Amino acid sequence: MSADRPDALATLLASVEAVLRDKVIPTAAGEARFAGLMAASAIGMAAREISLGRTLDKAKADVAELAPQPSPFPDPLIALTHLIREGLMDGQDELHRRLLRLAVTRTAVTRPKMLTSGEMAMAGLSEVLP
Amino acid sequence: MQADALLRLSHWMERVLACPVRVVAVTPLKGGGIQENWTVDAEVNGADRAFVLRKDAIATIDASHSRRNEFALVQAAFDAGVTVPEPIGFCEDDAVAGGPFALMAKVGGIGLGPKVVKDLKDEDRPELTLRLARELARIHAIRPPVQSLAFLGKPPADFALAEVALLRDWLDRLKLSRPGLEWALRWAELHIPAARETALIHRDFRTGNYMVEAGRLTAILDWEFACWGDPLFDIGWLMAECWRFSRPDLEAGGIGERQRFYEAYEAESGRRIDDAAVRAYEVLAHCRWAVIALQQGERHASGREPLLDHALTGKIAEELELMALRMTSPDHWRLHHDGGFRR
Repeated sequence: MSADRPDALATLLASVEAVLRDKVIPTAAGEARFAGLMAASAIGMAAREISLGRTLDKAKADVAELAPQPSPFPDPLIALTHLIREGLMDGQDELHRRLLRLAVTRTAVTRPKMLTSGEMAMAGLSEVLP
Repeated sequence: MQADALLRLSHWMERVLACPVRVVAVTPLKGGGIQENWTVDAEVNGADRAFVLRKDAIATIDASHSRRNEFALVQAAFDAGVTVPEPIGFCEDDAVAGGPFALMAKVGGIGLGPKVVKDLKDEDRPELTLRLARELARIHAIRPPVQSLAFLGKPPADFALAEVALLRDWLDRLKLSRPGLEWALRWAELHIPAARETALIHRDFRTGNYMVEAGRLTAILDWEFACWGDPLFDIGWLMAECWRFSRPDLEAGGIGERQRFYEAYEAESGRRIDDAAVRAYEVLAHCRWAVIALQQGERHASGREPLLDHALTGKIAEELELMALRMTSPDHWRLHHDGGFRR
């Protein structure tokens, strides 16, 4: 299922999260309730990570694109890290824009509630996430 | 704990407290993790008292002090008039409780940050804000050198630069490339001014690490990361948005107003707060918490400690990086109060 229909897997996980939140957690107390909330939270993240997979890959590739070529580092993000540390990217608009888009997309997976509508639109998430 | 163990503990406490002691019960403290924290109920000179016994955990966080050093820090804070659990004594003798331990008075109240912020009554907020400011100023009145704190070593030549270097080193050890955090760390490196003074800093002074009972502060806890450093770091850490929980509008730890905190701190310490420096430290605070969160996540991902709460803590790094990037957009570069980069 996951290979051919990632959206179906995301839907399945979202349904598991809904069952936990609507049916299981309200009946639990104390540590069991806390554990249930953690599990629901993790499953929700997994579902959103699948839904946003392509958007995440694109946001990461956009950042990597700014890495120097050629580079002694096989991972372009590590090459970029060194450039930033050396002060060669200080205050650069385009880098900040792309880093922000990547951080917004990652946060859309882990805690979408904290994103502003402007950030959602900037990262192209308004139509992907409700 | 068996009767003979209670007796051994009673005898040790009698020597330390110089009065008759009968330990009635020793029970694991809830939330103590690997059972290294215990509640000790005892009759001391005929009166019921409760204590907390703390032993070194099997697994401690990389940068934390041992229980012995933590006890010395709490003692130094207590002597400086900081509200901490009263330090009773440190026992080196393994025969008493199976390993070295610190004994402190048990303090009432709740500590969980989100609950403190949510449950605090509005009428109690101003007073608690003032209290936090005064307590922090008293901690910062402890200046090097202090003989009992020799284990802290020499203060760093430049605290902020040392902190940035430490966080980069931690990131390298994690083998994670996080250009977003690197961006914010570079900003912090350029924009946090050189420290004007060095004091004892708590390094984890935030809502969640002090106890509150009926709206009043009862104790400042969690001294295991304390060090010599720039006092403004502690203020930035407390003010950082990530530690305000459900009240981001209340900049002083989700408890009260920034300005009220500043005024109380300045009145207690006699020193002016550099607001721009505090705000720059808030960026560093998000970076530090993000790297620590990533370390926790790695404990899960590596399979060493596959606990779900470690995995979820690791995920917090994403929103922390976002907050740090929001604070360091290109129009926030080169806008430092002295008109330029410090270095």
